[in-house]
Amino acid sequence: MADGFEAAWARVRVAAQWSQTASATLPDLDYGYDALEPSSARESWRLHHSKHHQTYVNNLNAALEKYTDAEARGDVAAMIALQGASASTAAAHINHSLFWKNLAPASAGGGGAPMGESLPSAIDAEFGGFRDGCRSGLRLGLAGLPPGKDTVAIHTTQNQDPVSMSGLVPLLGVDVWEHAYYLDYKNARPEYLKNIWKVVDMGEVAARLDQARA
Amino acid sequence: MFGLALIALGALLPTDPGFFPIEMAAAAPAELTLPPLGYDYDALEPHIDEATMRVHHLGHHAGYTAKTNAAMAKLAEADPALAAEGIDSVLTKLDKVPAALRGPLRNAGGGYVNHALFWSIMAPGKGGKPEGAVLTAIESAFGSYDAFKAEFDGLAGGLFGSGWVWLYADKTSGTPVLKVCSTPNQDTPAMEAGKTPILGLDLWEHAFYLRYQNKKASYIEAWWNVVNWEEVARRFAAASA
Repeated sequence: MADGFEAAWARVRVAAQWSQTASATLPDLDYGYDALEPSSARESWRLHHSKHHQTYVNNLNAALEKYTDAEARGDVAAMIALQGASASTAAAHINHSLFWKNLAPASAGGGGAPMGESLPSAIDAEFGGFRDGCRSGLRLGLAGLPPGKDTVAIHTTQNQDPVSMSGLVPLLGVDVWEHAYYLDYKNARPEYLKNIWKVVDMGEVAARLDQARA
Repeated sequence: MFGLALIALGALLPTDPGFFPIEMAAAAPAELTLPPLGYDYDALEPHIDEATMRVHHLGHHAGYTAKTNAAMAKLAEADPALAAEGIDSVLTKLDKVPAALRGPLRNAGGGYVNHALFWSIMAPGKGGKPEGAVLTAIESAFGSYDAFKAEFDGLAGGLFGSGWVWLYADKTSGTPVLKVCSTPNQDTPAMEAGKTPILGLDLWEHAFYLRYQNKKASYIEAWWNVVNWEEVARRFAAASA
């Protein structure tokens, strides 16, 4: 358990661009909060990024500080006690960092059809056409590429569990926690999902697929 | 005509349910209806806002009601006897439910019963502290009301993701003992026979997001002002009977 956790922690540090001395930081967005309107209002994006994601980052740093302390003292009980909270906030930080990169205003490539050499055929092969895939399946969770398999798949995860826990490479993630859409859509999640497609950056998705296959 | 004939025959025929074809022996489960709040949508202001109460009741809870009915109707086709036991019983026997219906019944059915409890343990002009037998039971289980509240608040603040925090009566060892726990999604302690929730706090983001956004701690603090301890006491008495 402790060994597996160390390995997971190592991945977290890499993913969070985290050195032994620095802390996790909230990544800047590549666009303004208003740039993704009208998929959701700028205030919603601001809240999601500067409050929710910032809180995950703060909690992650606090947890890592305590964990490093406990590790130095050899306090295994404390280390184990911190694992759950550390893993949740680390995953939340990773997932949200990926999410911001997955989005772009229409002027910067958001809302397009799948592009690049591999992605369109991979999606077509798996879901029979991008449009149909949109309606039927690509609504929730993360699309992943199982290593060793040359296909894309849809995978939903609980809470902030990262898709990498299932051995998949995340290509596209859509946050369906209620905080992601509640102010603009309340309980009308299907509407949120319909509109998020207008700002999904399929170029980024294609780049991730190419990188995963490299 | 047919109805009258059936009643007359019922007195003469054996009560073995196998006697009649199964479709006649077990009644289809009565459709669940959305229970009323018992107070106006703005009655819990300023602690819980009217807009949240409306969407929560008419959107979320109504949705759970409809989905539970749909899943129970399918269960009635597959296993009429189990469906006839009603959702409370079905939630304790999810392992006996066909696999395809397990998720829908757990999520929607749990959502249905949990929210029915939630509206009932809140009321305008309440809050304060418990009295009588339920206070005695709280003190006996936790040491003091403050200690209970600290543990409940700790679970609520620490809950990651969607779920609930509960005060429930546990009769599995005989006399009812009060305990607190958190559950994910729409799970409830009532999924285990002998455990009866008497107080529950909805910590799904939809329960507080419109007024409180990410300030979950403020919502938890405000919620205590609307807890109807008389109803909690009534549920405790019923669970102890």
